[in-house]
Amino acid sequence: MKFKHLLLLSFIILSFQFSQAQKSNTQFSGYGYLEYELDFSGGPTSYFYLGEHSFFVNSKLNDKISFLGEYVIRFNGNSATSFLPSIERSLVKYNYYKNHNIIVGKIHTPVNYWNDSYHHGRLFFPVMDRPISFSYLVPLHTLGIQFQGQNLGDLNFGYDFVIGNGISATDVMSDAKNTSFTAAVHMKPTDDMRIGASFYYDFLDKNRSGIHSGHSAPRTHYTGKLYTGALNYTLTSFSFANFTKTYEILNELSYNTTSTDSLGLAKNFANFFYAGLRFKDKHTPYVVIDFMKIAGNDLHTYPYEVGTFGVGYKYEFSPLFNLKFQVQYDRQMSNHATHKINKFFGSEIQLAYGF
Amino acid sequence: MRKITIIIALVFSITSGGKLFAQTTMTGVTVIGNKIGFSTNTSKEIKQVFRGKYANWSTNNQVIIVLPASKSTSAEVVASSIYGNTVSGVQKYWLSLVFQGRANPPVFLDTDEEIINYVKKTVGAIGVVSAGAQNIPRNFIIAINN
Repeated sequence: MKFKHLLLLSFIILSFQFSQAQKSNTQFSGYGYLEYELDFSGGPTSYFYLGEHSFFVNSKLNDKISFLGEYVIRFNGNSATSFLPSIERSLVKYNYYKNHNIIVGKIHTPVNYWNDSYHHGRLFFPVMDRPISFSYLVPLHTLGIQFQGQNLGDLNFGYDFVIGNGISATDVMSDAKNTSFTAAVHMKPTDDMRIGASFYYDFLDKNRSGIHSGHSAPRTHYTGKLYTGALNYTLTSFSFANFTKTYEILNELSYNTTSTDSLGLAKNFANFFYAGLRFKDKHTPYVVIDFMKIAGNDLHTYPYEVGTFGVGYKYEFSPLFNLKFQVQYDRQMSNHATHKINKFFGSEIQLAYGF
Repeated sequence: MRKITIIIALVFSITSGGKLFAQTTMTGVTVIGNKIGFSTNTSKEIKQVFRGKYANWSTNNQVIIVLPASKSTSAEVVASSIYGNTVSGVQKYWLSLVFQGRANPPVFLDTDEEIINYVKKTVGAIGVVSAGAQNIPRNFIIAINN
């Protein structure tokens, strides 16, 4: 109830500001990608892949208020045209004091560097794809209200506090009795470096995963009956990013707990590591190591161990066009009883562009 | 002990992207501003402004950053002097920052003359032009202390 009052207050403040709006200043841009994949496991197969295309709008409504929208069209087998649109970000930001802002709308939950920086722009990705944890542990989006501060003091300290619809919600409603909560802090001791930590909490009364939560990936690794009882969900994250002219490092550590009355506290880990060496401004060979382990008593993601090791190369034709080539080895263990392991070996070429 | 100090300094220099021994002057450029609350500042602070650190000036005017477009003749010297980067590096920096929703995009203009005219008529605008640029009103020039 308090959250609804807060949201109402924000809308009143924003409405007042709109009444004083000046000439708007709007910019449109877009990002997309195309891939060619070659899979060697189970006999070689190869195919082209048209990736998601993101349309980005940034509009300055007056000196204090701006609007940002990101609309994505991506493949979906359930659609008659094989593609479906979705609103990935749609937010109004009110700069109320110096570097402090209030944001309302649909945001990318600022739990780690990747989710806070890259969104759906493959052009900005240092590697081919998102970390594994983004399909299982990370609550990608939140619809709600965000309090944000950035570039404070000599260390460029920043904070983000978010309350909003949780993992079970959709973009238009939530029947959950509570809201999710995110607290994140970061600092940028140098222009190229960002260090951050965050905590996310949600209570899922029926253990449902709504769309866009990042938890709705098909659980192909689990075929048993799904748990539909209450579940407490936390995610603690640590990020380290250092992107210089000569080298690039990104590490995303995630520690997730789920607790239920039936099986108690389950502790899950994931870590994504990327390192690249930049030379002549355009070339970046890199390595990526990604790993996730879900505990045997977890009733949200269900027991799973998956890891990826890849090496790749990125060539930047321009700031708006790059090519990546990556060879990777994946290892998955989904059945803790039999310890059956699936292995995949393949390569991908990706053209990512902005327009 | 001296060797250890040198090694620590070198390691710090490498991990901080070479900033320990980075040049702090802004050679080859002139910074201009319109009612931004100061007429003199340090090169460190000016660089922070151009990296989007501030949303508002002390005068409460909004910070509007004006930069030479990538094809401008002064783009390279500005990229090097202000950002310590290449022209494409500066483009990538702003593309990423705007896409994150953490800053409003700068205004990119093709010539020094266009930048000067834009800053002259826009309160809160701060721009950078090549050092030899003509017809800059004296009261718009920001003096840089190193």
